[in-house]
Amino acid sequence: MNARLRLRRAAVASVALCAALLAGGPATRAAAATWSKASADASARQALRFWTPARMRRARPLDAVPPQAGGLAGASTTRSGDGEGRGVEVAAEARSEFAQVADPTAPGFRQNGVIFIVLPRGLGLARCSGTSVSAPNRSVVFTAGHCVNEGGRGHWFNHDWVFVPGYHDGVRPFGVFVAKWLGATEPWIDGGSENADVGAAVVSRNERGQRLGDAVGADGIAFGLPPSQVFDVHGYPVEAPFDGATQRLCAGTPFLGHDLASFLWPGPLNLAISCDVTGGASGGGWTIHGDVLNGVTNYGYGDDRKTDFGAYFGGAVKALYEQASRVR
Amino acid sequence: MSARPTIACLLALAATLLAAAPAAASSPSPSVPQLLAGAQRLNADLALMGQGSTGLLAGGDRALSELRFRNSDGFTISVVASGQTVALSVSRSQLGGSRPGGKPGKVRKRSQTTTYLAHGRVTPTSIAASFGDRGRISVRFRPSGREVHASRKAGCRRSGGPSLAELGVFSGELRFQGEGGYTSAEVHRVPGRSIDPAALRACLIGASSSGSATLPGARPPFGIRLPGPVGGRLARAPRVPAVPTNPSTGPESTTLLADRKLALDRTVFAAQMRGKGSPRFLAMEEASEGSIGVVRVVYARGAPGSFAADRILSSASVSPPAPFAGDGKLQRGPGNARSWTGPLAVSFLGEPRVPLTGAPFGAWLSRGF
Repeated sequence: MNARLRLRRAAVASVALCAALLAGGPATRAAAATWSKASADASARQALRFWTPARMRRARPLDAVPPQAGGLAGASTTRSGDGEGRGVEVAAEARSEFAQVADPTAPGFRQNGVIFIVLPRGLGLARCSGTSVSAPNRSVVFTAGHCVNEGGRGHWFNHDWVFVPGYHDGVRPFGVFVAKWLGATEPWIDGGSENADVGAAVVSRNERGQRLGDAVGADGIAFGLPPSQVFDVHGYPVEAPFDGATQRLCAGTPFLGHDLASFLWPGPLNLAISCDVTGGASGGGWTIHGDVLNGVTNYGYGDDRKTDFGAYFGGAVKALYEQASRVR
Repeated sequence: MSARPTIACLLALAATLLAAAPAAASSPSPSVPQLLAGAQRLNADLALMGQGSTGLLAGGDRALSELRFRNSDGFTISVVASGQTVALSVSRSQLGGSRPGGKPGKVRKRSQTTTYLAHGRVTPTSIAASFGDRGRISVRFRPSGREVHASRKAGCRRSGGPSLAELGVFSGELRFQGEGGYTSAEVHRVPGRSIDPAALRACLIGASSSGSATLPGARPPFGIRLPGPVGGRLARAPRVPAVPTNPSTGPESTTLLADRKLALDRTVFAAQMRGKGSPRFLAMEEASEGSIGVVRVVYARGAPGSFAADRILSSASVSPPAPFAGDGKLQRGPGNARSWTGPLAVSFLGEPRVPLTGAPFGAWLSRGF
């Protein structure tokens, strides 16, 4: 199937959408659980030194990190098709709608990036996808909840958590942004509800002294919309047939329905769309109207690579956003 | 992106359903197994999603409510509610034959169950949910004053402690109409119970209610390894009940599993014969239809010879009894290519004549000891 690269830009946004955009709205009860440090112990320069191209390539999709991996040196790259530069790009192009973005540093794409994480308990290096979101502090990243916290009262991934916007081929065109605050929705933190698998970070300035929003811009964000939207799905899939080297996009993919499993978890029913994402795309942004974040990639089924599921952006996500926006 | 379960969960589902016990009769003083029976049946139906015992039932200390009645047309209708989830199940089953080893009682010959899932408002004293065109429930629990207390006689590991459940009546409205009118019900008073999961957990593990043990649910007895493509279970939240592989005891079992996943729908067919026992057949379909989820399950015990496979597992054939129809043939060709063909179909409650073979299905044949 041919890859389609088109960004939907609605001529008229609905009243509901406008009302929900980030600019407005009184603060609601904070319903997000958080981790924070007054000053991140790993400065941008330290992070820049640590996250070498080799280490970035070695980072595995967060959900696929083998439990036996032994620390930083133990992260293995032996699985087929799960590392960068494996030469599978051509084959992937032939049968994927998750099309390669020609220039991930271009406006409209560079607010998307890769999240790199040093996992606790010596579990190695991991990665997810994320999106710079507009906020007064110009420093908010949205991603999946499982990219900041294990869920169900598990560990925070608060060690050298960095966001690299516009990442491609081991290059960090806009530098590295180190997390100084992590948060996730309360249902994710408390019970690991996949209906609320949304997380956020507030990041420090990069090694050039720039704030994230100033360096790459930011998407808007919307809450409480009807689920029947048409999404552009962004992300950095790593597992075969992709290689994690650059950004990809499923353009104009409509809401399909809810996962049956979603009926068993608390929180609003999640959303299904059609996009052949793989591991590494977790946390990748689902945008509507071109540049308004309204979902993130959460999970898919191993025997159905073409369907992707993400949490609905409702009240719990809005509370998370508002809490992140207030972090200085 | 996380990969959610596939084959392991199918196994759990198939195993549980194929091994499920006959429905427990209602009793004026239910034991713990009887308290759990409804939820366990539901858990078995839900095990496909890897939720099993850790999904609907083990969600912390959320109240678990259950009501159940026999409809005038012979179908059994039950509602299990916990957290935000409300599950309405319609079922009918037929018992026949006798238990192995001359044990008293009859085995389940065939059964059909369709479960409708919705999000609703559930409290320890009320259930409210809409099932769209299918119906709705809005009931309040009125305790009768009778309680079930922990005791060894009831099945607990020790006696004492808080009550496990309150018995009583749900009053209000429950309206339901199955697809094509296969059943319909409107009731206003139904016997039921409100179960305290924490107390029940304490009863089962013989410790304080803060213990982490999960309630029993899907318990897969299959002892097989499945070949073929296996989707990765998301490593960060392994909720799938462990599937035991190659247990050292028990008769040899042969299993055929066929699976089709299309976006929000999944269809599964499983056949198993263990030793010289009668083959057992299972079909399951899950679907997400707007604001409700639907899980349809059919189980049947077949005649000897209705499932046959050669020694080297290169071919197999099935001809299960009603509500299945037709037969299916699995053939392994060069390069391990498999064809799964034939007019095999099944009639679920609410959805007749669903094909179970053809190209969209992946199929596997395996043997365990």
